[in-house]
Amino acid sequence: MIRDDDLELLAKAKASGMLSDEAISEETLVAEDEEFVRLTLTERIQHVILFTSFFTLVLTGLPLVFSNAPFIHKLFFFPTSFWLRGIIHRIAGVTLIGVGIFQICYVMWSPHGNRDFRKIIPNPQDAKDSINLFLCNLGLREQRPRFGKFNFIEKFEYWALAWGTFIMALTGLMLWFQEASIALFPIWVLDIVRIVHGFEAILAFLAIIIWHMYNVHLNPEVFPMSRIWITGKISKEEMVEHHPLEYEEILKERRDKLEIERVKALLEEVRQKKSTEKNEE
Amino acid sequence: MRLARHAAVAAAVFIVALVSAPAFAATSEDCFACHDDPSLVNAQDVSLRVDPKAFKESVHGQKGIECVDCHAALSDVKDFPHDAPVAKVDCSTCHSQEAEDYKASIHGKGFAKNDPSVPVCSTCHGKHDIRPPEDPQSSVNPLNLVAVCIKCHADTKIVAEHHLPPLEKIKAYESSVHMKALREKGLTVSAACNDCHGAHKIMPPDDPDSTANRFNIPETCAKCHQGIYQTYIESVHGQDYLKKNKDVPICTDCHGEHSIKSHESPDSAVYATHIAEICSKCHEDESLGKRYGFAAKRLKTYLGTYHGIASKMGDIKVANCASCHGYHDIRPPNDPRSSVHPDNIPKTCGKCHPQAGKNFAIGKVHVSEARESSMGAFVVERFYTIFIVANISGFIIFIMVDLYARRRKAKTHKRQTASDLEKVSPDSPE
Repeated sequence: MIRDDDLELLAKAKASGMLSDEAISEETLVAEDEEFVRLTLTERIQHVILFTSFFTLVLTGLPLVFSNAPFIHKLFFFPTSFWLRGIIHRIAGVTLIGVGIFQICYVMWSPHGNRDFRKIIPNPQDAKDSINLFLCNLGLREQRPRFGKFNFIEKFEYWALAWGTFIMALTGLMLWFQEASIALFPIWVLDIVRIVHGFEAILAFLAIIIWHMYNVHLNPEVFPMSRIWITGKISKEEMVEHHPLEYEEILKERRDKLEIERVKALLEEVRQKKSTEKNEE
Repeated sequence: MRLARHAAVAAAVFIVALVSAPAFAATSEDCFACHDDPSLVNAQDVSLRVDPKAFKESVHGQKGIECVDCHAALSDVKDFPHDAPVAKVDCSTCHSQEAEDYKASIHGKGFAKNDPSVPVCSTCHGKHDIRPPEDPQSSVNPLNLVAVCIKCHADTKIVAEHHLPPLEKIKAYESSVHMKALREKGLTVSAACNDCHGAHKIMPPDDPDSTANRFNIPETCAKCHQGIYQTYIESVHGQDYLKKNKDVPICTDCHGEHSIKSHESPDSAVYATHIAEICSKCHEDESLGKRYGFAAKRLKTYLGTYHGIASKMGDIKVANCASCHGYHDIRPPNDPRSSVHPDNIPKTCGKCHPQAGKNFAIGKVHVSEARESSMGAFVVERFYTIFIVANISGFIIFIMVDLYARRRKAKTHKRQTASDLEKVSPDSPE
């Protein structure tokens, strides 16, 4: 309950400059060498399982898409190799689906996951950002767009992956359990399913190889590799450079917290003073 | 020394002959009196010895044939040692049918032209030690026959001189299922050379009477594979074969000739993963396709399906041409007995896909991704092609622009630091 004299106190504190930006400098809030958590351990583990299963799927699947390439059939050099390819492909597929389901649970029920998930939902600002960044890169605009925790590139990758995984899992399962599919659908549906599975695979593979690889590996800034996927942390510098809005948010959070603490301390001090005065009387 | 011994032997024979033969005809025993001697040689120093044991165990010895029955020129000779050389044995005296056959054969024709390298009776059957073909020790027993034929047909000199089939073709038999059955399983019913080419009446395949002639091969194979033959002549291929069509595949066109292997052998021409290739030899042939009105692009449209891809990669369980169309019993799809007649499709597909119901009849098995025949597939493929190209171009453009911006930034940064340094430098005019 806020009493009148509390408000008075707050006003006093403000007037004395205790809560001003100068009084609480950035340095007090963030140490120069502080590192920020970008990916939690659970997220990093998910990422590792995701990319191992992804590349296993690519390796065991793409030979089928490019079956006309002259050297491809040489990959299957022992009699059971094609059968084994299928088994490995299915194991990796199940793993990927498993990660996908875990991710859904994670963003629904884990507080951290849920909070980040809300931040990765696309909004109109992302479209504006993408155009602005493009124009800025071309030198047609001065101000680079400022990003929060997830910029439009990361959001695009996330949703492309989610969509791709959904399509691949659905079509993959239909092809795997072909007996059930055959009972449910005419054969031309299965032909389309097979074509979709192949083309979506090419799309996913190219997207990862070109887009994601550039952003986290080949980009001169991080070359040869961004280490975030291992350490899960980014420096203050990177934070300010790439995620200024998130940084500002963190600063604001910390400032608010500190202000409240300071006011509380002041309040406590005043109360104590009053009670000693009373006692003296 | 040798002369003296010969004289002694001759004298002994003479005396024995005088004593023992009132109405004279030399018995085999008489002959062996001299011809059992290992040192007996002719003018060319070739041994004239005949092993009495081998002769007695031979079919002729067993049947009580005497030396002079075959060496007929000596039947009337009374003075021993007889004059040399003795006229050649004429087997046709007894084996007239075989002799007739031999005369008609390519070997017999060569013999008539005095070709020294053509085989005569003894080349294959032996001389004094001839055994019946059923005898495992006979040179013409199925277990041994191949070695007999190979003697000449693997002789590079003979092969070259007579333009015989190349060595590899002959040798291919050694890895065939027939040879395997003979050698490994000891199956004497398995085909050796003579079973397909004939024994005495061997003719080149281009001779219409040859058992290896195109129009006779199915019957030749039918000697053992009668059941298959009956199925085959009912099929679309067999029906045309009976009409003496030369384009239609016969046994050897799919299975191979000497190299014929079990369909379970990965080297077989009709191994599951090779079937598409074999059928395409004719069905992808443009002129044959036009002549007989084959459905076009069967191979391409098969290879575009999972069946085709998996088969190409070595999966033997997926459907190949034969899985659906049959092999010996292939019939045109409009034949109600055809496995690919629309009424039979669920059953045919059901062999692998038990759930295949009437849904299977909707849609095509040979998917072509062409607008006319498979609309859905065509649209999806077109959509994805455009979508992927657009996406990837987008990525690349974005990356290029990003790299361009970085480069520009690095340049201005450099210029900035350079001018900063200039300002700080004491040498500068300011």
